[in-house]
Parts: sequence; structure tokens; C-alpha cells
Amino acid sequence: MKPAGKARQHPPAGWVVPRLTLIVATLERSGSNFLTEMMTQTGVLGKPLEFLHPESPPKGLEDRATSTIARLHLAVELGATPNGVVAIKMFPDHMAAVAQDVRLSAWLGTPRWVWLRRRDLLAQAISLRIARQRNSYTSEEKAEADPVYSPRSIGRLMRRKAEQDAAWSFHFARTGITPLTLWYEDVERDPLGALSAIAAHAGIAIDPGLVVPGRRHKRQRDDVNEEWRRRFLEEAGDPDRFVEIGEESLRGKKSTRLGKLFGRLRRPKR
Amino acid sequence: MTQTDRLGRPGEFFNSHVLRAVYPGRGKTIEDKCRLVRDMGTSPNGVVGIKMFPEHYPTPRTGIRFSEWFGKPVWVRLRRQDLLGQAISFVLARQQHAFVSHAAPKFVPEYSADDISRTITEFCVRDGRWTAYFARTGQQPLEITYEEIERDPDHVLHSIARAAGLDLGGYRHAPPMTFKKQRTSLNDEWRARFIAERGDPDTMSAQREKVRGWLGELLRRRSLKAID
Repeated sequence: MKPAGKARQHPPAGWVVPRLTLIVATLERSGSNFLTEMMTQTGVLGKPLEFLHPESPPKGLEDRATSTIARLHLAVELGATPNGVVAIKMFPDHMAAVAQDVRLSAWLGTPRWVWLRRRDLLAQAISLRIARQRNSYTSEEKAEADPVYSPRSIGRLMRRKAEQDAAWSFHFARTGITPLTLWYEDVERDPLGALSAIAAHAGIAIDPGLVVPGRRHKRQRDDVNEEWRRRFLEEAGDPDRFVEIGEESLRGKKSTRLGKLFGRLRRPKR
Repeated sequence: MTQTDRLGRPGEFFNSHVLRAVYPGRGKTIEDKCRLVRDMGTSPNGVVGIKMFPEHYPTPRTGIRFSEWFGKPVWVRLRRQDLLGQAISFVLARQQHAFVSHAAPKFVPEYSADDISRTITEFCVRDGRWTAYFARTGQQPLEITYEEIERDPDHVLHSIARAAGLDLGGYRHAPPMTFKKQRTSLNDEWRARFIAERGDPDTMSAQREKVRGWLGELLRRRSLKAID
């Protein structure tokens, strides 16, 4: 919730709330670049970028994205298609940071939410680990280093992504918002279907003859991903054990009881 | 699933509370629980069905290896899209001590936004445990939702059969069912009130940090929550 004593800034006089705002709620390595690129190409579903990223704004906008307010101005200026639809891509941490400074609805109206998730969490973690090590997050960025396999790091990233996904789950449940839920795997299989679903969710007509152009962002997945997956499952994938994707399991460290923790979950806290 | 006579007879055989109520005297040891699965969870074609919450999974600490008893299972992951609806339903059931439609409520429920919020958190955490389990082991369950079952139970049953390599032929689900929906206008009332009180979409709730903390801690360590 909003921290005590900190006022959230209102839009300036003359601010025009967008006709419609679409927010793509997602996590890293969920195929969001592919989806948002396609949305932009429709010409009617906004031009979603990570405008509200609190630390790492879209490339070329670093000098202008110096505050939440500046980032909101950029979102409306650069995230809109000619029909006035503004689109933004967000991770849970972006939302938490923005909520400290503004009431998003005062600036952007009541958004329509698209929740883009990935079923294969292991593939997502491996993809992120490789991207970070190579410092290459899209196919256009040249790899700077060779990735080194680390099951502990993959386990940590899986845990982190599961936590972040749960944060979106909680947000939508608490607010009663019903997002359009899309899965990376389904978007890959049927990109036009995904765009049509977004358009229907937003109440916007798209060209029925729309053809998705070739993707600028190519898939980065290669043999390394497959090799790491095989190795991880071999080393840590025992189906008879439960949960253990943390460091202890991969070190073979003796475990600790979690009964108390679960007791805490079940007991009402006053 | 039980009514098809081909998809096992899934029960909560690893949940000691349920065992005490439904099969008194049975399931006192882990081996007996496994035998109970065989005795009570099997349909005439030899298919075994088990229903499990994440805390019920019989890890090696219980003294068995699940795969040695039951082979490589076909997983069906059942979730509810409407997590708020799920939490309200659970809070009502827990307060009334009535988890199924044929159980008479023992208490008058009292609205508590804190209770609902905690329950949403708990469900997020427990769902995250399944997510982590399937990811770590590379298993791909058949995913179905409560809402899909409500909409088209036949489609769901046939999907489960296909995933299990079985054919239900022209089987069609025929009510009546033992379990009926418990939902009343009170669920809607609580939902509207909760959203009015706690549903500000312009915040990311502090509860989010709890989800992160609890789930993180659970996934960081080995889950030792044994069956009992």
C-alpha cells in the first residue's frame, strides 16, 4: 500500500487521459517482446514498451525517463497508436514502484489488462540465466560472454519467477480485475489468435486480413538451452521429491523442517 | 471422474483429516495409505486416481518413493481462475465447518477482509509450490480450470482420458452429483465488499511481499511437510 506521509502526484492541468490503456502484465523471458512487437504492428493496439521500468527505461529514452512522471509522459507520447490507444508492458516491480508516486488510474484511466505467462518455468529460468550471462536479451544484441551452467542459479531464477507470477495472481485476485490471460506457448503457436483475443478484450476492431510480419526479435533459444535443461532434470529433477528447487536440494544439504512456516500460513495473524 | 468408471476414483488418500472422517481406522501408516489408494481409488479397468494438495505429496521422508508405488503418474492440474472467488468460498467453508454441500453449516460466517486476503496469499503460495514442482521435474500436467469444468464437464473428462491414453467413447456426464455448488448470494456480497475495501487497483498490496517471502522460503528449502 502507499507509504504513509508520501503524497501521490496528480496529473497536471490539461492532462488528457488516454482513450484506452492496455497493460501487458508479464515477467522476463515470457515472449513479451514478440507479443508487444506484434501489437505495435497492428497499428491499433498501442506500442507497448517498458516505459515505467523504474531503473532501466527503453533504450534511447534514458535521458528523458528520469522520474515516474516523466515516464508516464513518455508512455502516452510514445506508447500510443494513432487511434489513441496507449499500451505499456509491466513487471510487478514496475507497478509497485509506480504506485508509490501516482495513482495510475488518474493518469491512464481504467486499463485493460493482458496477463502474459509462460507455462514452462524451467525453460524461462534457463533462458533468463543465459541472457544475463551473455548480456544479450534480444536476438539483436550480440553475446558478450559464454554462459556457464549453474543449477543453483537456475533454481534461484525459477523461484524468483514463481514468486513474481504469484504477485500478479495476488494483484488480480485482490482487485477483482479479470485480465485476458495469454500463455507464451499459445502465442507462439497462434500469434494472430493472441492479437484477436487482445483486440476483443479491448473492444477494438483489427484488420481481419492482418498478416503478422516476420519477427524482428528472433527466438534466442539454441542447443545450450536444451543441453542445460537435460542436465538440470538429470541432476535435480527427481519427481519423488517435492518443491526442492532451492540451493539446499542442489547442494544435497540436510533439510530443515517447514512445519512452523506452514503453521504460520494457516494461523490468522492479528 | 469416478462416475466414468475408467478414470480411477480420486480421493484425498494422503490427507489424514479426510482419512479419519471417511475411512476411520485406515491409513495409519504411509504403506497403509498407499494400500488404501489401491483398494478405494481404483476403477474396474485398473486405473488409480488420487487427489492431492501440495502439502500431501508423500516425499521420501515419509518412507516411500511415490514412483515405486504408483509408477509415473499422469498429472492433471486443476486450478480456479477466479482466485478471489476461491478464497471467499474457502473462508466461508472454513468458518461454517462445511466444506461440501451435504454438510450442514455449524456456525454463522463473519466477514473478514483480513481472512480473505490471507487466504488469497495462501493459495498463491500453494499454487506456486505446484508450479515449482512441475518445473523442476520437467513434468507437464494437463491443465484444467474449475471454470472449464463448470462450462463443459464432458470436454474436461475426455481431455483427462486422452492425457491418460484412454478412450471414454461416447461417455457423457449424467447428473446427479454427490457434490453441489455451495455458492450463495453471500459469496457475491463478500466479494463486492472485499473489492470495495481492499481492491484499490492503484496499489500493489503489501500482501504481495508476504507472497514473495513465504513462497520464497518454501521454495528455497526442501519441503518437509510430511503427510501428517
